[in-house]
Amino acid sequence: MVATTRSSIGSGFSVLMTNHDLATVEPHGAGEPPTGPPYRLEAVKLSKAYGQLTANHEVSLRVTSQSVHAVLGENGAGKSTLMKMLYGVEQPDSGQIRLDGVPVKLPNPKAAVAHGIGMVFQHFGLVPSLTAAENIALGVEPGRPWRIDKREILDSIGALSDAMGLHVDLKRPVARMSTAQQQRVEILKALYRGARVLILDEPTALLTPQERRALFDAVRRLTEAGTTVLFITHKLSEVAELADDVTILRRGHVVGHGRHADFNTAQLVELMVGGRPVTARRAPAPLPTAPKAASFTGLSVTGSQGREAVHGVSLDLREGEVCGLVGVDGNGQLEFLEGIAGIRPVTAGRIEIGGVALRRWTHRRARAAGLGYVPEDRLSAGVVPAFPIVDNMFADRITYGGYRRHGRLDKSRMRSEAVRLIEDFDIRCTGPLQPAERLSGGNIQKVVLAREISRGPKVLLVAEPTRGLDIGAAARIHEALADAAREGTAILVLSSDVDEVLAISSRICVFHEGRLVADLVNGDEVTAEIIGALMLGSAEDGPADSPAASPADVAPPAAGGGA
Amino acid sequence: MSASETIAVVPRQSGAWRRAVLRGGGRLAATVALAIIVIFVLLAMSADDPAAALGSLLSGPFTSSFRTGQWLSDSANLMLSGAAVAMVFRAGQFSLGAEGQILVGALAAGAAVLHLPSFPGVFVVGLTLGALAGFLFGLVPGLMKAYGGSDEIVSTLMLNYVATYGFALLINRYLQPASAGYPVSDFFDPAAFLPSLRIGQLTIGLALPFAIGCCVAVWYLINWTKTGFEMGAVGASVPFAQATGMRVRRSVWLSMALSGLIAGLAGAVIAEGSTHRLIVGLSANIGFDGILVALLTANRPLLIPLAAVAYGYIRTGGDIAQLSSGIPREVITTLQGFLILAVTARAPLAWIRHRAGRRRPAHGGPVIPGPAPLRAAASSQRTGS
Repeated sequence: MVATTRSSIGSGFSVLMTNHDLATVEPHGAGEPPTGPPYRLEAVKLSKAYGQLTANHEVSLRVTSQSVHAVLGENGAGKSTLMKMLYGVEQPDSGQIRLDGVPVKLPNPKAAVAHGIGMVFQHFGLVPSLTAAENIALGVEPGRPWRIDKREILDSIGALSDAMGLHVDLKRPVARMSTAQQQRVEILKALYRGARVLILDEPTALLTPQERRALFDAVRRLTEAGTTVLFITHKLSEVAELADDVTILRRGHVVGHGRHADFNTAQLVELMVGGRPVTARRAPAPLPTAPKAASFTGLSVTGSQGREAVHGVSLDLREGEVCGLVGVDGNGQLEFLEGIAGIRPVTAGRIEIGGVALRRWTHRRARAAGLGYVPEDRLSAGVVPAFPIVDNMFADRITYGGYRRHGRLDKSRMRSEAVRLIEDFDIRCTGPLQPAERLSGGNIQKVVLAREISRGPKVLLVAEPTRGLDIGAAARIHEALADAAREGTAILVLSSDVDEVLAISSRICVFHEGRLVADLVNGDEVTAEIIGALMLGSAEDGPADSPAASPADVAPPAAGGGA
Repeated sequence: MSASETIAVVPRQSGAWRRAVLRGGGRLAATVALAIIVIFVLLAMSADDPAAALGSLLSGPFTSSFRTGQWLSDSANLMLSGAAVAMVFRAGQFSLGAEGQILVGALAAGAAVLHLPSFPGVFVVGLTLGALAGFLFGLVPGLMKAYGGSDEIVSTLMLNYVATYGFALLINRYLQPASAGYPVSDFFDPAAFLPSLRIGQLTIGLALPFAIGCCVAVWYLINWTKTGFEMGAVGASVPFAQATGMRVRRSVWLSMALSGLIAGLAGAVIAEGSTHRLIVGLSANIGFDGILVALLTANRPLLIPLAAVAYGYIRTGGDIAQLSSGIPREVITTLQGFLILAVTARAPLAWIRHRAGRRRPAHGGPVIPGPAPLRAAASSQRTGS
């Protein structure tokens, strides 16, 4: 196996294809009788425990050759642990992994690669300054040790990407690529190393609907060319669109498996969450002629690279409104939100909250004016992981002089109020003194929301409210946001999950290249496709329905009017 | 969220504080045991009679009441210096400027009491001016970091040189009597001496209760005040502090200036309580040994008196052993170096990892929590108080 992998790298893509053909005819070159089931990859009763937590309990998985197999489950269900065992990152406590019926030991990822298993992690492992081709060939360069044959690298990778329909500019540094392009580079990297089983960890988490479609097309082509694909997801829609087979995990156990066609959506949800009632996401609040909560006029915001990332965007928010903010990563929507929050310098424009305009806009002043802020990265900016829940909950109020008695912090009052908020927001913990780092992601986010909502803000800015959270936790977060909106808070919520924005907001603002290109009232006729086309600038490869022709109302202040 | 997660959470939480203390105590005991072995090996190589030398090192501080007084006075100085360092470390600033701030504080106090007419209580003026000078000298790198983004490790270390040579220069120019052949001032007027209490043969300076009081004050500031809470939050996570509306810059410069204030006070206490004049080498490395004391306690202010007394014991014992049994000074210095390595090899590494470890783990690899005494200290103290 090692030898064949080497040869495929050494002499280019044609040999690689031969490998695929060979492998299907004669699995593993071991000459076993082809009587057994044609499972390319099989996990037999794998168990893995971390201390007292059983991450996987006798998990079995059977992946048919050239199929797309989805592993479905909520966060914490044990999907990632299973994949890490299959890729040699983690070692099972018991159980067996079989490739083409032959038991294999995978002590490390290198061994997995040698066996033709490749994995694309959620967070890519690419060197930003190197080009796509350099990243793909890194460590397995053809040629002699002292001279790398760059032409051969480009030729063989080019052939591979053409055959698989995974088109990337091979000479472009990865740092200047979009997430979707980087993902393609990662997939090519795995294939170039001879992967015939490809594991994708939540591959769509950071993609737009269009990019997701392109990825799915590519996955289809891969399976036609002989690759077997295993992907982790917690999104039911992806299982429906892509998977042939599905295995459902819950709390480390396999609770269902089979052909995808054998299950309907309700059954999948039931299996995934285990009969726990999943509250329907709140319907968006209707937009009354409510008073204005905030008004942003002609805002320009500087981005991370010192360049202007937002160009003169104007937006008004009404009380009780949930306004979704979407855009492809890096199109200014995050900078806009952080500019309003006072985290980034606003170079031009006017910000009014509750009718009061403020000069010298800083986050401290913004908060004093009635702003709440749920940052994008909850573990670094949302909470201090080592601090207890109570300190995380009231950090903002303490810095404004709250909770003081006789000049010192009134810790007993803080604790009793924390207990109340823990109940209100249904935070699962051992008490207010438990450090935040011991909580699950969903509960950490609830701590952040409890802090921000309990202040009673006029305007609440929320970035990525449920990223990485499971359905149950996401539903509670959405409920909390809906409750806050009902109390009259104007909520501006940024999410890279278009489905989420569609489900919870009453209004959707789309950013493209630093400008607000659409400001739509959300309704049944607004779909992920329409939003996706707007996110991509809609002039180019968008679908037929252009934004002007879209059935949604386009509100007048579509400032800037992109491209 | 799910039951499995709750299972993971409950047992780790109960008794976490007690376990942290046990773990810390165990590590401290192991460090001390190792130190004694190292001392013995060093003595075996360098002294004629290693057992006797070790005996004089260990029993030295008790052999006379003068020596005991010297030990306690040295410990008090270490406490102040340790409190200054612990305070700034807890605020997440890795300032190493205590040494320089001590000299500046001593200089300000000494210059004042040498020039002022003598009156009862003039020593208070010296202490106040020493504290003020230390505050200002700590404020400089604080402002440089808060508004200029300069690295506090570099700036404070460089300012130590400014202080060391400035101290010698100014004494040489303005305070050195014509008869003296090296930078040293006249002795202070006795009214400027720090008062002390005689219990039988033993003299205990006001410095000791004063230093303990300072440690308590630092503890109170960090745990019970808004300003201290902000400093702790800024130290733990700047993005968090920013996102909750804290004044990050103010917290940076204020913590460094307050640490300078305590160190300046330490300098004034050394000058008025121990040396009774200004002299080159007055700080006797107290500023850097304060770092060791702070690290020994994982920056817990209430444990600093204990650690300072223990470390002062080794310092004084070493001085005495050098006089009485001919142990070379180098043995003691080597031992101190060993102790610093044993303690710091764990603590700052964990601290740096804590600081840098906020980046996402690449490739979803296992996140190794590792021993993080400082982080553990930060959380357990908050939880405990």
